[in-house]
Amino acid sequence: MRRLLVSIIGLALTASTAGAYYHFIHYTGRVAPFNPVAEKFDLNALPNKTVTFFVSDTAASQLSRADYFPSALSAIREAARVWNNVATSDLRVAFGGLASLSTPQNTPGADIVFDEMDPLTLGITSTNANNSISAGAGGQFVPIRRPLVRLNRNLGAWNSATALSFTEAFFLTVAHEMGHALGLQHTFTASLMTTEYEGRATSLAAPLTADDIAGISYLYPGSAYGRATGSIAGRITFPTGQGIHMASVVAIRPTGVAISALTDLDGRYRIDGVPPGSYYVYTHPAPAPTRAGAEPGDLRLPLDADNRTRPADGLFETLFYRGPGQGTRDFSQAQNVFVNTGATSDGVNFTLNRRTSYGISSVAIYSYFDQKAVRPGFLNGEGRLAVAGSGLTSNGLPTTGLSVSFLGGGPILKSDISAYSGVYLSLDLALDLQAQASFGASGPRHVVFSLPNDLYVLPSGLNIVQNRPPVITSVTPAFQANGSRSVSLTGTLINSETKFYFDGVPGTVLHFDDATRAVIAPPAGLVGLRPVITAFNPDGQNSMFLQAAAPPAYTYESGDAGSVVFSSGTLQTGTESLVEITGTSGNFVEGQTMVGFGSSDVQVRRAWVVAPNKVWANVWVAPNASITQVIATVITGFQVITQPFAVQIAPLNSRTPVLSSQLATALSSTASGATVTLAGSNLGGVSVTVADRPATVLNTSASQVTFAIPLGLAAGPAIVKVSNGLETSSIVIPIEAVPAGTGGNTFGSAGQ
Amino acid sequence: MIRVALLVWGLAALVPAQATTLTKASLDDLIQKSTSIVRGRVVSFTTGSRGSLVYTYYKIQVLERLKGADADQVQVQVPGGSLGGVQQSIAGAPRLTEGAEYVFFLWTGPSGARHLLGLSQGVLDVVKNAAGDLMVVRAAASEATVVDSATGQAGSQDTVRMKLSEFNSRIGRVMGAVDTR
Repeated sequence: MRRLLVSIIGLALTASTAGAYYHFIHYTGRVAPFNPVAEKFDLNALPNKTVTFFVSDTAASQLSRADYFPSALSAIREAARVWNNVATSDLRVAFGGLASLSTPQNTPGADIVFDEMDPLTLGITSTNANNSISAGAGGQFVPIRRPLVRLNRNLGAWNSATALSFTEAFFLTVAHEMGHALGLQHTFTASLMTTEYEGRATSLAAPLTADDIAGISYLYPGSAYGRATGSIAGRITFPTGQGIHMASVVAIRPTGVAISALTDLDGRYRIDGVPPGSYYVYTHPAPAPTRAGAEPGDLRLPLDADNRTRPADGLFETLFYRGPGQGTRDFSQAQNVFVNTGATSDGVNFTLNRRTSYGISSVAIYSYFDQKAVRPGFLNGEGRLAVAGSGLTSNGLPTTGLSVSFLGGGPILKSDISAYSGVYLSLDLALDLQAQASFGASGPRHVVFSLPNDLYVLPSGLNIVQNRPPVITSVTPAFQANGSRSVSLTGTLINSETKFYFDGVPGTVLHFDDATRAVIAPPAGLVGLRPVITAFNPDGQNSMFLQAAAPPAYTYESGDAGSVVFSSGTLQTGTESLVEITGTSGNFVEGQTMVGFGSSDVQVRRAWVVAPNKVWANVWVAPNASITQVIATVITGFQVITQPFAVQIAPLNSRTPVLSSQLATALSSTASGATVTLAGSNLGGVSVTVADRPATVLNTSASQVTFAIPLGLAAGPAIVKVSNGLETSSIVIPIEAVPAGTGGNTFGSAGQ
Repeated sequence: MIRVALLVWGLAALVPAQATTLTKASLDDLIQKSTSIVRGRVVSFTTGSRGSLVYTYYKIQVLERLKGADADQVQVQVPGGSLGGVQQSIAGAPRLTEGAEYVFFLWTGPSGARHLLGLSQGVLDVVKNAAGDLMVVRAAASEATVVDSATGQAGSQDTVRMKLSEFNSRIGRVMGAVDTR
């Protein structure tokens, strides 16, 4: 294989102005470079830069199986966490529980409803962006207003359609639709945002790929974004010199990441967020639409400066980059492009000939576990995989001249490619040990399908694994020494990295008795509930691969959601305050219990489970919040407590001392003895207590109070009460442990 | 909170981005999962909204019932459309032409509303071949076949261009008996 390593490092960002990734684009210029502007949330309009997703309060009654409602909520919560945990993105994402869609709200947020859809449609998302351009610190953008995610109310649609467990299929669909709501379009790199469900190579264990992370980070760049990555840029043209609009360009490492971008109206592209290293680069047209008249790749076309949609340019050949202006269908002849941190490898240009029809398209690889098809394919040692796709077979045989290979090697074909049932390919594969030594023993492999006149690359189409899928062989209810409920699970190929889900709700691994027996704390449940238990391994395999026909389940013999009481029935606009929630069930668990208040105008900044039946929450109300009543939701495991009209939002009382916990959390220390400053308003002359102990107030003004945290307080959350003689306000601050050797009183205060 | 966003340029139209997750289906899947299949002509259409979502409601004159027993005229709701200056384009949703003839795979939900099965997947064009035979046509782009992932079994090959009479037989074969139609 000829591998030319070429570094084309440039700083000519002005030459390639098209944004990275696949976003919802509006062009403001009428001539090149056209100025692409993406739809996204206005971070400055979001409290704590956080988008909160709410589920319609009618959802439980809409679902085809009401008993799955807690699982569905848990999956939605987990999906929000996925996007929230992207470290290089400045956007935070939260789940806010249930909300009435008729509740007036002034703070941006997002809604999820369950609706009647046909069995083949799983979800539809609208960003509800207005076609108006705003300018912010990060440049121009089209503000996303209030996205709506619609999910199929018939939960059976996921099981029958995808061959995955309800847990994983529903979770991945919700996460995908949330990605749209945040501003991501479809990709073609087997990422979570890939157009076709069958083409995705993500799992509950690894829901995002580098392409997803690059896409969201490009929209909402955090301080870490770009520090450890570079870019690839260039232009894609027809031989006439005309730029090709909406060509997909992919930077791909032989056994690593695939990150992509679409070309702009002038054929220019820039792939940002690319980790340093050498890459193959290839370009291809968006996949065929499902029907004439639909858009390629199910993409939403960009709008131009005259508010017209601009279609993708017609079909063209798929090629790997072979040098300036050159391409090749033979990846062994491709030229590697080197990416350096903080730099752009520019001039990666292609000149492509038109095609009149798709050659190979819509390819998916399946492996079989006891007659159950699973995609993408998994290969453990050796095995036979099935390939579905257009153009792979002709007259019941593999298309003449078809070859299959793997970027970077790894698997080898043990025999010629064959067809079965006339329309599928059968690949009889074994691992190439020599290639494994060079490229690693496990992980995704990119599969290349070649015809004399066409090329198709399926990123992460095959996963090389070291083991069979996990299996749960027994489920034994038990109790821990403290009387709380536990479940002993025995199985094969489960280990400390295995995640166990009860339907959509994660269980907590307490310990492993031995290599095959895990003791799990099940999520708080409801008597009679019988969730399926699934084991998910980091290699992407799960126990449903082999146990879908008779999955193990756990039956709750007791459990009651109970009810809750809120310490305050009224919250004032423009305030942040403590709400104490007392439950009757005694099942609150730190990290598992969430609290929401049914409006993006009312958000839980942070909550602490301070006792099994008590939660303290710092609740923020927007200054411009609508004066209305909101629903409260408290969720722990399968226990969902909703309380309509739980809280009345009221106008700010001009005498109320207003506090912000934000300053406290930014302090250098909040240990006993430390001096801290809280900001707010109406704070002149206030008195302060911390954990019901008087605090020495060092200074006050209308907008802040500085006090010393009393000595001797234990680490953990503590209630700070501030009184101006007329009104008292309370928030919670986390008291830190006193560092060893400091004596507990040597901490300076910190400002904003 | 410091608001730095500034409206600097705007257009009147609201053009929300829409994205969709669809499960691909083979022709046999469509036949099996539809509650009815009709050949019909688009008579007219109107638009309406539910919440923030725009729907187009197509009135279909039924010319032939291929599966199920639909009325002479049926209304099909398709997400997306243009209403009050709002243009919602749904990825995967078809745009049907008034006066044109199609085969529709319909799915009637518990609410009684009729949907296109799999949005664009649930529509076949109807054309005449050179011999004057009615043909049902699925755009070449949609020929991709899929493994029936629910069972792991290979399905039969999708047909993308066949005579209406052949299509009729296919429905009968898939449904197990001719009199199921």
